[in-house]
Amino acid sequence: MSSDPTVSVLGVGLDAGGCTILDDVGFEAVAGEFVGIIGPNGAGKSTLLSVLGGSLRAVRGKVALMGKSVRDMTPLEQAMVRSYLGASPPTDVPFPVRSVVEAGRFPFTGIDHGNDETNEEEMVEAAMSRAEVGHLAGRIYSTLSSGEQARVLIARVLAQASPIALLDEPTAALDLANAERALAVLSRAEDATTVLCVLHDLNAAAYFCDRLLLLGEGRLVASGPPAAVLQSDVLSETYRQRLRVIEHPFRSCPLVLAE
Amino acid sequence: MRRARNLAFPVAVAILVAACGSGDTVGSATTSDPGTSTSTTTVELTTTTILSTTTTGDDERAFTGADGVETIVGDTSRIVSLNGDITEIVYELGLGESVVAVDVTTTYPEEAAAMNEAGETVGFAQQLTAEAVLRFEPTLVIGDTQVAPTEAIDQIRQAGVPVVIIETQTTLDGVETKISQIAQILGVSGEGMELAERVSAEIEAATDLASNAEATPRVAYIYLRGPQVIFLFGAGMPTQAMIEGAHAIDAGAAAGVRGPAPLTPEALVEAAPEVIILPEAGLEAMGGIEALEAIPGVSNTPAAESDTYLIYDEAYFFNLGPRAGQALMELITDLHPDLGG
Amino acid sequence: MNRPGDPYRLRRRVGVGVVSVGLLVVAGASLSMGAVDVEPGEVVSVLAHELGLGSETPPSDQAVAVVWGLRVPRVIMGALVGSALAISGAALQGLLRNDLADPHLLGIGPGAAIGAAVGAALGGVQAAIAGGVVTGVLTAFAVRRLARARTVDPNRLILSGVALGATLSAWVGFVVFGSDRSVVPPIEFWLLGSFSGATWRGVGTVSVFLIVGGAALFGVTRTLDMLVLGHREASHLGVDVGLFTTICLIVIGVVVGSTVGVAGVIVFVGLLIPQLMRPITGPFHRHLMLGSLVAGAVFVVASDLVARLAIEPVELPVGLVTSVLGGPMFLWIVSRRRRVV
Repeated sequence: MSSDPTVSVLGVGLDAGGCTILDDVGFEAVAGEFVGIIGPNGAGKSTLLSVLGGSLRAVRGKVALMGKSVRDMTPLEQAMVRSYLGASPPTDVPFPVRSVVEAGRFPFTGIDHGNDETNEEEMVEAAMSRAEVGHLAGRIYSTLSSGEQARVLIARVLAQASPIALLDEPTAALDLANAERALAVLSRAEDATTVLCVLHDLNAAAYFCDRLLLLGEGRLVASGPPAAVLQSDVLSETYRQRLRVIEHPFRSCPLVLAE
Repeated sequence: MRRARNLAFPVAVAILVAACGSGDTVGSATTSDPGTSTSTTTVELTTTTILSTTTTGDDERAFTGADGVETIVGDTSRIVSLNGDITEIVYELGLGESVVAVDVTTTYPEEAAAMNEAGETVGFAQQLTAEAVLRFEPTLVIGDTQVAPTEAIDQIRQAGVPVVIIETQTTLDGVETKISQIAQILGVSGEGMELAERVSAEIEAATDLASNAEATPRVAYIYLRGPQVIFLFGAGMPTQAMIEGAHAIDAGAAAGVRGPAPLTPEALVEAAPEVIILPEAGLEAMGGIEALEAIPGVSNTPAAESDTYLIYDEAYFFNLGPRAGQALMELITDLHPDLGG
Repeated sequence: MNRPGDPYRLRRRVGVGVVSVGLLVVAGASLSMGAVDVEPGEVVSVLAHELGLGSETPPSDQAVAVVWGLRVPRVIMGALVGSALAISGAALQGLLRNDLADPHLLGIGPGAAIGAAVGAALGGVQAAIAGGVVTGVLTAFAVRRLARARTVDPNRLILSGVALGATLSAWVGFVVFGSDRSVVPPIEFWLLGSFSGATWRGVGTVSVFLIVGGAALFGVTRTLDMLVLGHREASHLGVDVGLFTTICLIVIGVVVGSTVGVAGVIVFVGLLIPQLMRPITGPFHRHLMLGSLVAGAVFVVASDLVARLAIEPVELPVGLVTSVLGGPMFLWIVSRRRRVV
């Protein structure tokens, strides 16, 4: 595992409509890390991810992916180093599932439904089977349930196989069992992939993430291993709700409960 | 076929008359001086137009048309005429037998008008298509500068068929030029000169008579073809030449109307005609004088108050063809009864 | 590709095959039908003769002039323009993620007609094409500005485009009526379209623009597919959406503008053909545009055939026919369309 950070965020700040959305956020992540971004609604999680993904520009600070400033990268260059799964992707895509997954290969080959390169084909097949959507390959994406759609998009992220994956609540539409399986797949994506994943489910975050970033009101409140970040007092203050953290009865991680 | 023409007619008439208006600028005013229109100058005019003609032998003649294109004409056995006045002249020159198709503005002579009914028609010369002409396998096509689009003319020429485009004439002097040119194209210059002289003499006799008239009535020509196609004709139209030749004022032209203008009540009131001339067929189609007077503005004119309308066949009145002198004389007698014909 | 994941494969092959046969049928009918009677056998012998294949009996001059001089360039022109409009419509619908988008409906066609009319006034078909291309591209940029407001309400783009188109159509009128009407085609040519002036020369000039532009559009089908995933998704997957949209609109402006230069605004092709083909070819632009290429040619060549024959010998503007056929078909499609759950 390389010691150079794959994601480097330094003093990032962003304002919108006179409000500070992000304020002096800084962290680094390295290859193979699964980093969860948690925090209450409006804390700036999605905004932070958009800044990393290049669709929003930070007013202050620097964001670098694979050592290169996002600002200096073309959309294609960005797409070659990171995949991105937004919070509300379109649901009306008329393409078959396989093509939606293949879109993940676009930065490298284009959405080539006629591409015969075996290697590409295999990557797509493998991604579909890992996300458990292989049986949906011929179905039209817009006819799928929202849970199926979410898994197809996860397959797309896997197919893209970029060194960094930026995911905004990839499991929001999934039931508990599917969410567990999806996160399990993502957490052992490629060994070298850095995953930054916005999660609302603190217990899923506690179990699957190597490290957590807790955001509150646009600031980085805490950062570190789940056991260090998930503390009753910090969480209660950040979420403005009394939360208690206990030891998970059978998983070796914290368990967050509302009081 | 008949149904089809009826559909297209009103639209095309509007275009036809619009085209008349823009064509007037190239009229004969620059080529002939109205003051010298006597029988002696007739001969001169005839010879000047021959300048553009060269004999190429074997009974072939080369013409440089009004569109600047030189055309070699030999065989006149299958003629397509693209304008009603041209048809009339071709028939008058005795080549009616050779006419294989005409355009829809051809209403005289009767056997030519019948060709329209029989489908021997190219439709509207202002919306010409090459195939509509070529299907008659003509050896000669004659039209004037109102024929459009020019692409169709080019296409017919590319198919190897000679097309001669002559000047559009809008003055009384233009009549003899027109007749002479058509006669030369057809290779009957002798007959043409005779006819031109006869018509010129008739026109001259009429204008001489008119010059004795004391009154100069304001006369408007209203062109109509059914209730939606109503135009007030003004300056640059053949009707202006006829009206002014009859010692009268063209009320439309005097009111500033150029070419054909869609009739508006105010323009007509402004023109204040004492006499209104109307085309016979159009008036009938519209429903007679009563229907005409229902149009706003018409009943406010001096002509309506004194009930002074003159109704002529439109081709007869403004074709500026072989019957121009006759029509002019009729107009003069109608306008100035005191002259006693 | 012979694998699961392409549910349209069979339908697409059968559909495009049927449409291709349709193109042959329609082209054959167009070559043999018209005001001039030419036997199908003679059409074949003209084609064989002109293509240097030799034939036992050399065709008549008249048949060569009509079939090779008039009908072949006209059919080729119709096919080129139909294909170009259909693939432009398909590309525009993908680009704006709005399947009601159509180059003419959004005003690009009328905008191009302004420059084309000015070009025609300055000289010839080449200048008309050049003028159409210039103002076509400019209007495409105006559409781009409208499209930025699209995120609020996709219907707003269409409504704005219709308003823009109406305004620009009016300006076409100003240009036409303000120009020399013996040089500039009339307003109905620009706003309703026509192929009656199709020549080999016009085919040669316009095909340069259409082949280059068409090839460019086919070159970006994969990127257009990405936009179907959503503009944000496409951007995250490496598409520079802003730059791509700009380039595509330039190409569409060039393609549509050059068709307007030779044939005026022919409505409904760009809107209707992709709509009709999408259920057959599937949503991928490579297939959709290939299907639209063929179907657009069929639709326009067939419409032109109807335009020529409906009220022979007068020709209808081809846009009237595409509207009469296309309007009801489009309404039917819209009324049938249900949101896929």
